[in-house]
Amino acid sequence: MKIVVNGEEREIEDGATVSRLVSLLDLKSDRLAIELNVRILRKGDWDSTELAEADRVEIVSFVGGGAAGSQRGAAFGLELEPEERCAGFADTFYLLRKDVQLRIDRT
Amino acid sequence: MSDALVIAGRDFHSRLILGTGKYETYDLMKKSLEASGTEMVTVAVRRVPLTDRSKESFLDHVDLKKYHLLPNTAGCYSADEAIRTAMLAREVLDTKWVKLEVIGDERTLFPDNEGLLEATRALVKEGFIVLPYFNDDLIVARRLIDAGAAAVMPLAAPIGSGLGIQNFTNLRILRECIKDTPLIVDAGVGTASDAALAMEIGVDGVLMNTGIAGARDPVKMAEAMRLGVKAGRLAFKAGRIGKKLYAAASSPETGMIE
Repeated sequence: MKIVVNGEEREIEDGATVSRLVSLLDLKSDRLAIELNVRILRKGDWDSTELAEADRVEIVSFVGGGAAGSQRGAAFGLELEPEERCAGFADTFYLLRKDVQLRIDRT
Repeated sequence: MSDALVIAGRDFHSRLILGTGKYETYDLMKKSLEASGTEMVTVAVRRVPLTDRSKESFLDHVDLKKYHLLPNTAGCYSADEAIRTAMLAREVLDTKWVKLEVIGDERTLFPDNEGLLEATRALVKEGFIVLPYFNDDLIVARRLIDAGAAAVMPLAAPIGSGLGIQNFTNLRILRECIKDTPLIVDAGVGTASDAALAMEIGVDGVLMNTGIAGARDPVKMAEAMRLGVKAGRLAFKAGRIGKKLYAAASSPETGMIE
């Protein structure tokens, strides 16, 4: 099946878990955060979470950065659909405003 | 005698906070951090490179026992993006600290105070320790503090500009009016005297990146900044003399030979 990881399309076997993806990519799992379809996945859930066709995965970590902003949209994958939700955990949800996407389209 | 900077109950023995961006090599960054004496460094959240595996991991080069990490939300232009980034940062290394940036304009990198307040409220509610970067506005500072900010961090000049302290009076006013929340100058410092001047105003700390990373010799500048911050802090604690228009003799005026 096809999934999108950090904006790039990738092929992975059906039913693969998030943990499987991390090990296929040969990443150090203790220094990552992962979003699946714009919801943060706790590390404890990587083993039990199966990926599905067209899932969008963001894998992030820390890089050098300072007292500085950077280019607009540089933060990381911002291919969000207008109605998608930016999720925290449990009961906290933040609706991503439509203008985020509109602004990114313009730049 | 201890003169620690206390933020959210945590003691820092250095009043200098450093960014980790823009260094030519990791080695130069490591040596600069060392020379600066800092105990807290900012980091950014970015996508992990999946194809170029030759890239070394940034975290391999930062001694996490020595430096407290302060993830930032640099590059975020809305409260939502900043909240999302802060939550990812928390997940990377289980930290609740965040240097909150919500940028409102690309050319100046001035903050969007409205978005900043919104994100501060949301993140404090989520249990984050929030250190917002804002412009030197007392009313905004008060609102951020009311929203639960652990420190407030006004700019002294645009980010990366190296212009030095362009808002001396406003920073003084902030210091006079904000007594119970750490006040940290974030952005604008170009050289050691700028850091000293900021500290002489009585701010609690200084955060910088380009001033060191962009210097011809970053390691030397890091040491200069350490000394500048220290000198400014000592001068503030010592209490400067008042300014007078005319001379005041410093040698005894009696016992002159005749």
